[in-house]
Amino acid sequence: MIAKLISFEFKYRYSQPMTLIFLLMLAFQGVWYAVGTYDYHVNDATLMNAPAVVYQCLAPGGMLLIIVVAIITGAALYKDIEHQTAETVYTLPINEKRFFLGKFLAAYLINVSICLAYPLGLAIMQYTGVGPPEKFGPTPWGQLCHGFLIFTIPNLLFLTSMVIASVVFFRNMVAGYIGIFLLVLCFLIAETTRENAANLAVIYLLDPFAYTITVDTLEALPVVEKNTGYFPISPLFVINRVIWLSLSVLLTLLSYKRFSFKYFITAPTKKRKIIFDEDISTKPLPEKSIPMQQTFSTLENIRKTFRLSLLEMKNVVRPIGFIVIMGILAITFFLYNVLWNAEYYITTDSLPLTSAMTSTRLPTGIFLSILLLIWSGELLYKERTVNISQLTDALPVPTWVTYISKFFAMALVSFLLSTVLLACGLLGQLFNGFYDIEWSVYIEHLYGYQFGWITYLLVIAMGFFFGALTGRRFVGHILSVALLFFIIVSAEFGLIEQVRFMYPFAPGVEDYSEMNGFGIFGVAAQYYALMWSLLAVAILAIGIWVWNRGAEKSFLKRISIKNPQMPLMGKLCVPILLLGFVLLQNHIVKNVNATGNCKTETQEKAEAAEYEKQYKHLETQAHPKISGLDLSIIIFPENRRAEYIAALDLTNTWETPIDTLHLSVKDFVTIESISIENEALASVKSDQAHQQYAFRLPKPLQVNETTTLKVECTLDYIGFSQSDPQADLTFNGTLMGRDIIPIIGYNDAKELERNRDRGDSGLVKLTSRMPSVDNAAALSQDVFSPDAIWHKVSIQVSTSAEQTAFAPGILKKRWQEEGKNHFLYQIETPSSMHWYIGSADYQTHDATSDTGVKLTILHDPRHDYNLKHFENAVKEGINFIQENLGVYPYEQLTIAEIPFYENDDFYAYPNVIAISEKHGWTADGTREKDLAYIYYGISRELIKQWIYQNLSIANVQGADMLRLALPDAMAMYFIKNKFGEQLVDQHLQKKEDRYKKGRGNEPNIEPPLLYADSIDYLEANKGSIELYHLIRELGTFRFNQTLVKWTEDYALKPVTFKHLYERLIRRLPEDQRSDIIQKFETVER
Amino acid sequence: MNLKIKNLSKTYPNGVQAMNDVNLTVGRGMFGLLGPNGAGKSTLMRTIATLQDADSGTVHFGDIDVEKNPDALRRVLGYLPQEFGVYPSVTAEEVLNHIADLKGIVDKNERKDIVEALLQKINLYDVRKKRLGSYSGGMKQRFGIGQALLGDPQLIIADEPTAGLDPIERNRFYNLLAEIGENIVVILSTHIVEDVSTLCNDMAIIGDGEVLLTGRPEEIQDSLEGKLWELQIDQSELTSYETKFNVISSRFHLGKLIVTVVADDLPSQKFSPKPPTLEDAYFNVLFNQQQGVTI
Repeated sequence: MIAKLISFEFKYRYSQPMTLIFLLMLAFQGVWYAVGTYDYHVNDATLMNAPAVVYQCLAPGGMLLIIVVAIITGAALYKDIEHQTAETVYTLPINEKRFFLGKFLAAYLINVSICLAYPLGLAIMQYTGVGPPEKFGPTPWGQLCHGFLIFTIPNLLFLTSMVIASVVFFRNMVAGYIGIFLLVLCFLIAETTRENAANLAVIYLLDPFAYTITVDTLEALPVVEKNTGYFPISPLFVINRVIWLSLSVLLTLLSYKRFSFKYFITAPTKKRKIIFDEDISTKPLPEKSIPMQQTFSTLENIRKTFRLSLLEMKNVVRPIGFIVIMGILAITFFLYNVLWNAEYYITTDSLPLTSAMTSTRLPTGIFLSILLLIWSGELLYKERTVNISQLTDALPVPTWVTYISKFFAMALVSFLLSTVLLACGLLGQLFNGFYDIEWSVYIEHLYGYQFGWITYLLVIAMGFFFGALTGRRFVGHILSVALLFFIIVSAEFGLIEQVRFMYPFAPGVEDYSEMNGFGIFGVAAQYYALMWSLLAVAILAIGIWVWNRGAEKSFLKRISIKNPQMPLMGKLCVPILLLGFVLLQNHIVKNVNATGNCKTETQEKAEAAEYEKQYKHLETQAHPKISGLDLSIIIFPENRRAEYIAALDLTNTWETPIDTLHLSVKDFVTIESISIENEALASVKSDQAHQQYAFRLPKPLQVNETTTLKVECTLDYIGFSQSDPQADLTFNGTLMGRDIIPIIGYNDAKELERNRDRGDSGLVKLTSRMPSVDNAAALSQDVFSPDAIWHKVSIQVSTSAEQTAFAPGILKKRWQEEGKNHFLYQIETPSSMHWYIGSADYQTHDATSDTGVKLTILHDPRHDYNLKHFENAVKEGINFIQENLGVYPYEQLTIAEIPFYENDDFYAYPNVIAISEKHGWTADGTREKDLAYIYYGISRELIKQWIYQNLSIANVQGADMLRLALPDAMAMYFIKNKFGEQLVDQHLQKKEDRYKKGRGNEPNIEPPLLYADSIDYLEANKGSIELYHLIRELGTFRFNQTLVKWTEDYALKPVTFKHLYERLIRRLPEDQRSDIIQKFETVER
Repeated sequence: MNLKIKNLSKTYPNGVQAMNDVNLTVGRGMFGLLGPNGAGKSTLMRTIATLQDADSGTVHFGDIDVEKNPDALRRVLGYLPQEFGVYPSVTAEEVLNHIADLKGIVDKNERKDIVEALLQKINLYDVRKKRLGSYSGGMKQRFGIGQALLGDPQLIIADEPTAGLDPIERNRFYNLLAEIGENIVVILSTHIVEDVSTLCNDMAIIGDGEVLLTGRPEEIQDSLEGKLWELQIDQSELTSYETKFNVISSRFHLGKLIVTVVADDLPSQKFSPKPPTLEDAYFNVLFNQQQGVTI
């Protein structure tokens, strides 16, 4: 009988045209995911159809696969109930347990058979034209089968058993969807916390699809393994599979035991006693004559819409299923807030700030959106589901009243959902004894358009639209959920880059800064939200128009202009709304694209390649160097505008006179005037597309001659941005770098660094991202500013009356004038041209170190939690420097808090350390781990200041070993002394993990540490680890002694890491050298 | 107000012609629409009830053009479809209150009184607080007619309302309809002849989407006076009788088969005359349609 059932189910399923659509969709997903995953593996040598790509695609299965499984599996068992054939089928002479087994196996095998289309899509991708032939290797059939076996087959079993169990226990199709989405929720939690999880093993085991362990394993593989190898199965991977397999078997056994025809055919509501007339009085009561007045005015219809909304909302929230789901969600949100603390979005551990609590909406947002889409579809079709639509459709109520009332009802349901998030956040805060509750943040995040309630409304409108358009409940579910996933996954993979194509999202959802709020994204989001709202109202109106009221009508008839379902005014509104939508799209294009605030990746790469091709020759030409700077800058934070005049001393350090000045200017900077000794310079070349200019000097600059260039500029952001926070000049938390001053000559920072991109753009591939240690020209340059020599600086900065500005150097003067705050800073000892100017609404905390250094901490007024710890860390850090290296180079030190989306989390330059708002300011200083993190960060930056002020680091390979790895390794020694070995070991382990992940994604070729060429994963991780070990081998005393001596020997002369390394090696005993040499001079393959 | 149906036709995408040039005028009182299963009755009912569009033709109720202004008709319509479900977890009182609201009875107190009175009328007052999912078939049907009566309808359409009801329920239902059918237009679509003969003062017979006959039930019944003959035969003889005579129907009585034949004169001596019933007239119309005879 089981075989017969399976055979019947196969025939039934494959006779449905939808099955063909599923197969095509899954094959398409195979190609689509593979392209996205290939982009994720940035190494030039990684093949598009590499086994690593195949495994990474097969592990999660993809959202389409999950949706398909949800639909197919539930229907296999429930369709007899839904189509009312159960009474016939269940009375046939068949064994109910075998029936269950047959249905289960049929559902599982059908899932497996349909999901074969997915690896097939992966296999055929090379023939679809998604990439050039040379990017493909032979089809990895072995790995495809292997991946299907270790991922798809068990994953399908989990999914099938979850859906079947949900359907059996709740006797409801929707329960199947909910069950499957709970699995997805586990996956989402695992995936979003993977990056910063303290206990990664738990995260790996929590993930039902083993995606997290798979990605981490694949990332750590060398390119050759990625291109040819099989997935290495670790014990943890096996445990994951065993756990989920056991759960599946358990669920299936429980379902098997629970299932019986009698149980399953009796819907929960039907269990109640049926009332017969015998139970009630047959004698009618005397009739009353009641006058009746009927009202059908528009006003009454509007009132009715609101009355019905409440009623419909009760229909959604009253069933026990809804209450159970809300309960599960509430527990999940609470645990998320309390246990995981949304680390993914906060970077480090944090106090339970309100913004941390509201960030729970982000990883769970997709899940909530799916729930809302399904509930919307179910509510829209409620009358049809219970077959009462023939009664209700004939009632004298305009379609818009019932339709809109349902939308409002879902609006109330989603409001409830947001409120549950709020309640869980509040509970999380109170549970942790944290009482700095920011109600405005709760309201803005949970009820606004940054994936809050308004976004939910847009999602609901989409659910209603597809439900109405298709005229089929399940097709509506599929299309709306599939479209949402398509948008999300495409955005994740970079296939869709512009937010204006990502309904219903607004820019900056993940970019909330405690200091700057949503910044420019907040401005942009208003327009996006308005635009999507217009579209949502339009599609709601279209939904009313095409909604199939009464018997089934043809699609053409439903969309006919003559369809009386929609009043004429409503029909007129649709094109008006759509016109508004198009106009807003146009407005966004003008403000985002036309202003240069957003460029696609392709555009950016093309421009970078063009710049290099056009101007690379300038690199070897003679240019003057900056030898002094007097800058006066006025910042208008509220307008994101700065006006400044820079007097630049230019010195000819070459051996030939220079007659032309080449300048590379930062985007959004305009040179208003340029002169030498009051004589305006004549323009020789003006390339606005690449912001590269050339001016004829009034007279050639002779060898060793110095002149003063006066440049008047503005930095002005016009319009708004969708992905770049434009953090250098923002409303609260400006941090402008030296690049606001034109760079002299060629700007190599614009070059493409990934060899894949360079190859695609017709550029020569790089052997190193930095000049070689033998490059004489580069050896004479300072790594921070190749176009400058060390010099003194004077900066006068003015900002708004509410804000405080900081700049490098000693604060000489501070005053208020014409409604602005003015500050004068001076660097009196020459240093490299490496500085930033900041401005924000700060509160000040002053202190003095044991050695007399005056400390000023500029912090967000709300972030005063760890000021004392910061102060102590500075004091102890300076003492550490004094004891081990020598005098701390500055008398004044400012530590400033900056928004988190700057390029780096920490900045150290003369007299200033700027620290991201997410690194220590809101940490829980009562926990040793967090406290150690504060000490580690501060001491590292102090050591950087000492190194930067005492060494001129040459612009060659290994520079970041001195800039990043050396201070980092020394800071680890500092915290080892203060907090013990165990904390350092944790840091070392994290660094090793980051290095392994990073090297797997190395876009070019990993260099040995000695020739490290400034790549994120290498110097700050492996470099730091190996230097730490080298210090241990040498002993801190000998190491410090060598470093200090070397510094003194080469004061102000450009130095290389190689040189320091050779000195250190010489101090090691012979027998210890080979191991160190291997670590620094070779790369483990 | 009269209901005027003109040249109404409807063919489904699968080729089935559900209505073929249907013309009817229905005045005040109970109107029976009699026809076998699949004759197109429900299509016609749904079309009148604004739930389905015809391919051609018009339906007017008084001044209301049903296709162009469905909302206007819905304001005066009470519709009881052939099959309908209920919200299982909601009480009759709640749903009737909700429907009354949708039918424009906006005053809360007035609505409450009306629903209460209606519940008494349909004899569901005692169980008004019970969930609809617990109602028996007859109670659900009474609930159905109750909702159709809400809002002072001028046109009531009841599509196969007695199907599945036991005789006692059917009687209760007849009583309800008889009370309301005097001053408004009530269309009763059914394949049960007794429904029409009991209640209706006017009727039409429909078959294969066409109106085959219209008139008053007693006139239609009397038109066969002196033309009906019956005979008890063996079951094996049925085919030969059907060949020789116009057998419009056959039925069993006490285990024996009795055929009814229509003929102007006594077909043979074995036959005996039969007083006509509406059912005979109905069978005769269907028989004639099968034979391709125009009435």
